[in-house]
Amino acid sequence: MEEGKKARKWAARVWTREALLLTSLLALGIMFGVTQAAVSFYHGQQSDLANMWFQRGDASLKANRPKQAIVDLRNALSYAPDDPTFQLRLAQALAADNRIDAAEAYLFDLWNSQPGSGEINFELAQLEARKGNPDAARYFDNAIYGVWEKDPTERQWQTRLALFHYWVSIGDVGQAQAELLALAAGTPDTDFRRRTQIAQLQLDSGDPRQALEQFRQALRVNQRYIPALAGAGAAELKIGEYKSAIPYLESAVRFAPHDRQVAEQLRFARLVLASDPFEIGLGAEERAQRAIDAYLQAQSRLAACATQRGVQVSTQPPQNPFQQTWASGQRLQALLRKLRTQPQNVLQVMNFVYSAENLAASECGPLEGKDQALWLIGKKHQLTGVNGQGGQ
Amino acid sequence: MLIGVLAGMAVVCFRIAIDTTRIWLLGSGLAPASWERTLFVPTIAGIVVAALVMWAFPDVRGSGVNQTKAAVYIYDGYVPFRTVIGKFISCALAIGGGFSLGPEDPSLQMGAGIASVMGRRLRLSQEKTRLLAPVGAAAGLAAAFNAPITAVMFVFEEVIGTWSAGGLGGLILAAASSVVILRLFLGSQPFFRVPPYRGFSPPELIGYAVLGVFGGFASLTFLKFLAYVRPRLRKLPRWTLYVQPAIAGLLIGLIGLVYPQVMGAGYVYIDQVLHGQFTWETLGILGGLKILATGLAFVSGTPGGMFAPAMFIGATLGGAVGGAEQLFFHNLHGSVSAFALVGIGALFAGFLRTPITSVFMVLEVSGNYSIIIPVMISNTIAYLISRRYQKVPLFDLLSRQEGVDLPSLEEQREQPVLRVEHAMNPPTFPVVRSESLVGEAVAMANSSNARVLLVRFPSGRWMAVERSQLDRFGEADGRGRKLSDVLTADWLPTVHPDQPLDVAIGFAQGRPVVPVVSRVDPGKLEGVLTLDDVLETYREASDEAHGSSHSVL
Repeated sequence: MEEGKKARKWAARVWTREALLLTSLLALGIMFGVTQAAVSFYHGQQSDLANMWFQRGDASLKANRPKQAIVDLRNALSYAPDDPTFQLRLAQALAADNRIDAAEAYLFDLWNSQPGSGEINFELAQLEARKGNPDAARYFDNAIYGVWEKDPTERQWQTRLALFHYWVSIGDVGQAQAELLALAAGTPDTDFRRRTQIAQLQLDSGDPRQALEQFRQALRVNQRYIPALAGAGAAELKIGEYKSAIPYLESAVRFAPHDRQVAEQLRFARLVLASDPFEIGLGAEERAQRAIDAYLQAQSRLAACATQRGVQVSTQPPQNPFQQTWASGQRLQALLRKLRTQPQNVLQVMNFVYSAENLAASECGPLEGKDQALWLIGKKHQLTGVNGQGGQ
Repeated sequence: MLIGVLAGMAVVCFRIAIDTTRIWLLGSGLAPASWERTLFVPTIAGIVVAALVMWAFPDVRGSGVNQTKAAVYIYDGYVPFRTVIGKFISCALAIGGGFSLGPEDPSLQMGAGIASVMGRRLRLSQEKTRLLAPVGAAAGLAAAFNAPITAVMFVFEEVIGTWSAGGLGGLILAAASSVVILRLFLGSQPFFRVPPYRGFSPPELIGYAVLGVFGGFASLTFLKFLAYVRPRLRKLPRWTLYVQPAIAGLLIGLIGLVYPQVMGAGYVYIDQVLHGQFTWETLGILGGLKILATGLAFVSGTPGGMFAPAMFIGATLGGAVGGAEQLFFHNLHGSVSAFALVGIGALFAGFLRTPITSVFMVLEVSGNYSIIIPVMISNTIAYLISRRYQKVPLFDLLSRQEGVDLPSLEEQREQPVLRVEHAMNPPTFPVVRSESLVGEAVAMANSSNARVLLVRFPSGRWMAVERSQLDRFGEADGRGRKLSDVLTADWLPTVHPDQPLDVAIGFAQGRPVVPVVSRVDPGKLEGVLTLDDVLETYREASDEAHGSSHSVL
């Protein structure tokens, strides 16, 4: 009797405990289901809100409203804190709002997770360049050789172009020109527009010979491409090949008759050619006349500049560069009269011309018209000037 | 593990409830959608929360940590399920409605409540049910923090107070399983992303020490605010309890009109601080306002925790100190994010007064061991300053304000351990060797006039023999026999000078004397201990502690 009671008690206890465990497992299952449903709703809501705020932020950034973009993108990131696109866009917005340090913090965070990303390296490079940090070049390089998700060739091209601008901005012309060479090497032969763009940059950065080569390549693809024609002409002018410049410039003027800059370059090229007494094939008369004209022009410019500076050029004995140069010109008066018979003295005359124009340029500002042409002639023929006072 | 799983799911639902409530009430942007919402949502939420607390869930008022401690020490691990429901609803409404409170403390209590319910339903013994509450607390906190080690450390440091291997296993298992559940449902991303820490140069440690000083005084300000304002508000007429949360909500809303960052738990803003998104001046202002907003929210009786606000204050304060140092001392290269991270630890150490947890917390959230030196320096300084000027730690302060005297674990930790050496007397008892004759022993007893002799055996063991026994042994021809032949009493237990006095008290009971012997040579007597000596030492220590506890309150 007593044993039976004990057994029933034991059974009841065991059953209760098993039932409780079963109930617990059931409750666990129900709670799992409820939690899963709540989480699904939650994730959906978070994702929708993240996208909505991101689109708003993106639109604000594109509309050049970085402050609003920052607010919107921060809202987006509060729902998707690890989304690299959101983070990158926020960094861009912060940079656009001149909050460089804040943008940098986000970008460094991104960079640590994706050090090979072209886009992140590019943004970091631009930021570091704005800060004047020499690490910018490293990030540009990383970006060039990094991974780009969309249109990698174009993005790499643009990145190298940005790197060129960076080198120019810090005055490292050699590195800048090297980047342009790399850009040119990576540009398809058929892409005459981009090649012309590179050539123009080479010309602007002081590399007219490489520029001319690129312009010529572009013209091989499209002979009528006006920017390439004008650029080739300008490059020839920079090199000092005025005669070679004229056909390019003439073609450019023919295709773009209203382009005043090209027309002016053509006129100038012709002026230089017409003023140069060292031009091959000139008769003695013509050579002497050009030298005399140059002498008179230079003398006139020197006198005008001296007056502008309040100097009396004919004072004796000569004491300042104006008076010394003027005096050296005066000493050439005798030679001028015999120039037609003694053409070897043309060089001496042109040295005075170069000295005078040089002095006028340094004392009274940039030369124009024929004065500039004469100075360029002196430079082209590597004249030394009177007593070696040549070249600027 | 089951507790961990259930607590983890409860915390997941709790977080979703908080976020969803915030979106519904304040809008989906980080800042409230309009000034009307900024002002009136916290106010109305305060009214509703007050009504819930007053009418439906009176037990949810106050600190969840203390309520869990009360469950462990007073109510045999009993936490009503109603409290779990009440915490969930009222805290989701309060935090989602913009109150500057955090979800960790309620999560801890919800975890403890779930564990307690399970213990009761499974009809576990009272002792086991009492042990389950901290296990659930660790699970809840681990899921709320997404940091299991920190949660286990905190529960040991603040709730249980002592380390035990059995408890450790349960706590770790529950904390780990709750974090697994959290990550299963909500992903493994942390609440805030910590930028990589690049190490430090020695001069930067000066900066971190300065941060520790600021952290200490910021903690102190926060603690003093709670210590001063809370008891005064509690003394106001009962009807004011209905409006206190609403007034606090209105004031928080007013702050939120200019600085919406102080509203809510603030995890998103901690992330922004760690990523250098604010100037140091703004960070300083935010830190100060967060102390005010959180203080107002808490003293008004609104349920919610102070972990997240403490982290926010620490991050902003650290960021402000780091930013200012970068500005004024260019040779210090510590990043603002590193200072913000260390600042979080400093506030934890100074405000919550959990120095060990604070170090582990920073290591766990940063995942970087190399930050440990700055953290230790800063936390220690903050902790010492806070302890120097506010003797009673936060949780003890809150429980005493509520009229409950829970064991102060910080005080327990700092109580000097009484050892045998504090109670023992010099070896004045005469000692005889066991080979000595009874007659010699009687002569020694006569000459020393001692009531008891200590007998040393060659094995290093000891016996005590009383004078009356010696007299009996000496009757007839017994004087010529060796002591070892006549003694039949029990061996005396021995103690060493460095052993806790608690160990000795059991030995001294019912014995005339207990030998205190050297650890190197058990036969060498270092001193002797009697029950009277032990009790006298306890009495003196108790008087001393009583006097000092009066002086700190």
